[in-house]
Amino acid sequence: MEHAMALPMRERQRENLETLGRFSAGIAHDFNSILYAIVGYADLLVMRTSRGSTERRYAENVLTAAQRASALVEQILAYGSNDRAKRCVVDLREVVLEALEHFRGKLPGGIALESSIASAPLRVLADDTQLHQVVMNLCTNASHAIGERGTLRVVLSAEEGGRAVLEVTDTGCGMDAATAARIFEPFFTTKGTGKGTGLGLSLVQAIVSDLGGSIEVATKLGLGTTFTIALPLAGPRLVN
Amino acid sequence: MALGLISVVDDDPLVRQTLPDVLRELGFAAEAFPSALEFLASGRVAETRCLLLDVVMPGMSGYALQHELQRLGRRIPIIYITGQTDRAVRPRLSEQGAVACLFKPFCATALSDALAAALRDS
Repeated sequence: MEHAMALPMRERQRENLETLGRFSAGIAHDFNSILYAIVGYADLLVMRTSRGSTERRYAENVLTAAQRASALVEQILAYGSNDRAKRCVVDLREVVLEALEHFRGKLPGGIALESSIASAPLRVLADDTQLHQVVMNLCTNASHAIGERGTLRVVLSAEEGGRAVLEVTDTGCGMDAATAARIFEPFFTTKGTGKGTGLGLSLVQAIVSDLGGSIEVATKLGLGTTFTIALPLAGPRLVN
Repeated sequence: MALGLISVVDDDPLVRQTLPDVLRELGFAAEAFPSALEFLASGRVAETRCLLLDVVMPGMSGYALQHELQRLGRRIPIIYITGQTDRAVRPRLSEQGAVACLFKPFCATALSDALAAALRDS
């Protein structure tokens, strides 16, 4: 694949992201309570209306919208949580297997999910929620890039030199050089309104950099994209 | 009244309005209080079968109310309801003896399941 490039940490981008994180953490608590009022009353309408009625459909649409708002808050919040992340020794293998299990259920029928996962534990010093987000974000993007039909391949292995390497490859639309150069910018998205926040990959990059890892992308327009993430393995003294 | 009184303590007026409506629809009697102190002073503590308790509140926090109830010898099952999104608080809350922790916005089914577990345990 062409356009292989190493992507160094961008300091200004990181500052933006931290400001956004602090800001959003401040309002999230209240915002979730407001969302609760919306979800609660929509739930009541669902209970009080008959299945198949127009009213039921309206109420269910309110619920769906509120759930999307909730997912958005969570994603924005994930931004500011880097400095609050609770690091411990995590088996990356377990996190990847769990995330794939979770992801498989959401995958459109025409996309095949292939995986080749290391047989032994790969212990890294990280926050498991963040690692889960990394895997889910990469797989979600891969699935969006594929669209209806194609293959998503996830490979997790140990590299010589004490690093765990995660590769997520899709047979999707790929990117041109101009797009590939911008994918880690916060709020940059190629997806339509409502489909992407433009936060996913910049979050992935922030998490990976924070853990002392690296992220690379190789892509070819029309053929697909591979994201490769390498994370340092935890030293034996850190394990238990 | 058949299913007993469920008390809600939350500083957000929207939650104090919504949650009792949902609880009544599920068949419970419900009352909401804006603070831990008002709940303690309400005279409804003894008949409360389950407490839906916000974690972060001005004045006495949810944790502090839980400790106070323990100190008073009141064994009321507690379900925390929180607007925080940090899932890591969940194990900490269960260590403290909470039956469940619901993250706002939670659906009526999740609430109903948590209440069933709380009332089964008590």
